[in-house]
Amino acid sequence: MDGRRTIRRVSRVAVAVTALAALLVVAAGANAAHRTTTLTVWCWTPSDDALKTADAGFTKAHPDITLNYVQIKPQDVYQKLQLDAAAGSGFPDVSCIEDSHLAQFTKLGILADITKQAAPYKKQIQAYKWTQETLNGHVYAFPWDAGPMGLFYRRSVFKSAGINPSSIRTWNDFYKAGLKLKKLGTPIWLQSKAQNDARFFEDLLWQQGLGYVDAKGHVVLDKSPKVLATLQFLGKMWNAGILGDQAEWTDPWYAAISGGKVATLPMAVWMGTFLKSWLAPKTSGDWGVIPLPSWTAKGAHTANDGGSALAIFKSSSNFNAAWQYVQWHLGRADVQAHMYQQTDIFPSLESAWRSPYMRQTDAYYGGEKQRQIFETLAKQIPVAYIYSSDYEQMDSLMSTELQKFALGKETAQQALKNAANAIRSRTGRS
Amino acid sequence: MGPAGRPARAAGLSRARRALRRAGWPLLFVSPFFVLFGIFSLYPIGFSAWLSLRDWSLTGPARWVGLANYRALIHDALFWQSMLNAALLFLIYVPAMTLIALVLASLLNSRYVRLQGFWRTLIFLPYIMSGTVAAAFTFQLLLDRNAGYANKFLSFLGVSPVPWLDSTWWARISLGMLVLWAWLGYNMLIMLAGLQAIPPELSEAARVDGAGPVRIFCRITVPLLRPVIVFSVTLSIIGTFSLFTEPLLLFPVAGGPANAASTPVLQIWQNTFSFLRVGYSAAMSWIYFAVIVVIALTQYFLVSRGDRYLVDRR
Repeated sequence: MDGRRTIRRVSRVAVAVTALAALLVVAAGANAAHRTTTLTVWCWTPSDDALKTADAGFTKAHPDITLNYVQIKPQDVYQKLQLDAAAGSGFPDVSCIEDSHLAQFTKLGILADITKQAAPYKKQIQAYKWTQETLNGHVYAFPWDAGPMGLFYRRSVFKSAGINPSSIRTWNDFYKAGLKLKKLGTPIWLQSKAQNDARFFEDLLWQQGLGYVDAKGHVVLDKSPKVLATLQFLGKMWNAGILGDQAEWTDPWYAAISGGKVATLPMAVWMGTFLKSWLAPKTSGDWGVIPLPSWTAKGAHTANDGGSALAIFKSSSNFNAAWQYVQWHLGRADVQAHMYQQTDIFPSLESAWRSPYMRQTDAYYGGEKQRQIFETLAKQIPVAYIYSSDYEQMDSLMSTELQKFALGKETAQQALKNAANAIRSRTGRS
Repeated sequence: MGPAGRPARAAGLSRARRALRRAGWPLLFVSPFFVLFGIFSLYPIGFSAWLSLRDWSLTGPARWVGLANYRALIHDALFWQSMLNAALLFLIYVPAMTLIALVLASLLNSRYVRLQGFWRTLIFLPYIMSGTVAAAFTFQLLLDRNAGYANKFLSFLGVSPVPWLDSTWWARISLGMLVLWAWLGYNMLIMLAGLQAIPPELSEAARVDGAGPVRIFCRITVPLLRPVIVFSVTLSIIGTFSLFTEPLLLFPVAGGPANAASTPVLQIWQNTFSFLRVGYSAAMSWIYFAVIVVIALTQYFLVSRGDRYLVDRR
């Protein structure tokens, strides 16, 4: 969900978690006397807020289940789960896990097999989600949100640059719009050179059904002409000076977005929750959404960025209660539609899309029916090969080479060759 | 020989027993250190040696791979880059730190500076705050190229903006500045203590002989302060090679642009906890350890040679 991958604030959170865990153990002991079950749920903001919107109904239906949320940032969830895996204890009952990191944990063998329980939902949820949640034919997490990408744009900035949003159909159109915006001194989008985290590059690959590897898991970074063209296009935008050089998820980045110092955000649907809640609440009405520019006239107008799932842990002694929780929160169309309405976390449960809410106008986007746009886009998300059990490492190695390319220290070919070779030698893939 | 042997041995045994009895209490009192050292240092050291020959991802069985981890490390460009970074950082940071700490300590030790207690506290304050995390985040904000106060101040002076965190060389310098800020007070204090141990008669005698303040500083103070300077430099070397929190948090992407400010410890940590290559990281730790030992021995050798040289000249 949260776009940040920068690793930070580990120790502080670890202390807080330990303290909380201790409290929860005490709470669990006290509750046992009253024959109630306490479920510990790890999640980050705003996803935990989304889950909580369904708690009133859930507690009414299951008065014997008490919920204890522990708020942890994604990177800290993973860190803590890895340490728990090494220690063999300390797991929660249920945790949010991003699709990008899920494979690492299914591989560790710490998640409960929910193949049987999830079977009835197989056809109700977007097909691409199941590939992330499955290992060797077994399902280890229940799909939650999808991350269809669109192009958020600032109406007032487009207007003063004389850009008609519907004229942006392809990435070439995007480039031309960028040149117009450059005359106003406003970058069309922000991509740091020296601090690039490779996420946007991954999005662009995803849009074309590409990735670090192919369907068989072989590294293709340095073998696909399309991957090379994608990186070269990024370089072309940098050279033309239409991208602002600012690292994402930093205070100056937030300030640029809220202050109208950047014209567009080619990002996933969940960016809406950040914009509305704290990043730019005062700019309501000045935003619009159009489909992501495509690579070819008939190409996909979206990609996927992020997305997450709820996993139950093998170690949990409350599997049934945990499943009730997961089923209630993620498996019900009414609950999922309500969550989306409240928090912009897009359901991969397709029956939730039939809610009349999806066709309502949204004042934040100038009265646009933005949810319908994302619904249309979600159906187009291509199957791609970005996320895997080695994602964290691939992304780290790629971002180093991408930075060298952006800083002019190596060519696009060299960057891809170096990244591909580093990935091969470190992951043992061919 | 024969008749005398037995009593002698008995006497020896009882002497040993007596010695043990006498040493028993002291041994008991020092034992907590050895017990803790065994559990938290000796055992992990042995475990990491065992791991470095295996492939392990935190759970499941560790697979024996022999020296494969070490062989792969030889070709690991990122690891050697991080070693090089630490060496470069050492060259940037240690001379600056030593010089500034020395000058500040001398100023604060001289009669010409007023409010000495205030200045000492002020310079030492960053160390007491021990908020490396807070400092790293603050520096990230201050040094942001577009919105940071450092560049706003420079543009006020008419200087063009500096890519503090956005170029490979400036990233290393910025990291050095952060470390300098955090550790200057500590090193200054050590040198101040050294300065105050120098008898004032020596500089007074020099002054009577007609030496100016600069000459006194170079000919009297610095040579007498040499052991203290060596101590401070040694700590700084070990410190730069084991930097972790600073390069992790100073940059939006850990390790800085193109890993220009990544350190060996950061690489070890990333490989263990982000990439789950635990055996590989263990091998990395051992190579890192070997390099540090070589550096420490080299320095020891150079310093002791220097001492002989000094004595001979006299």
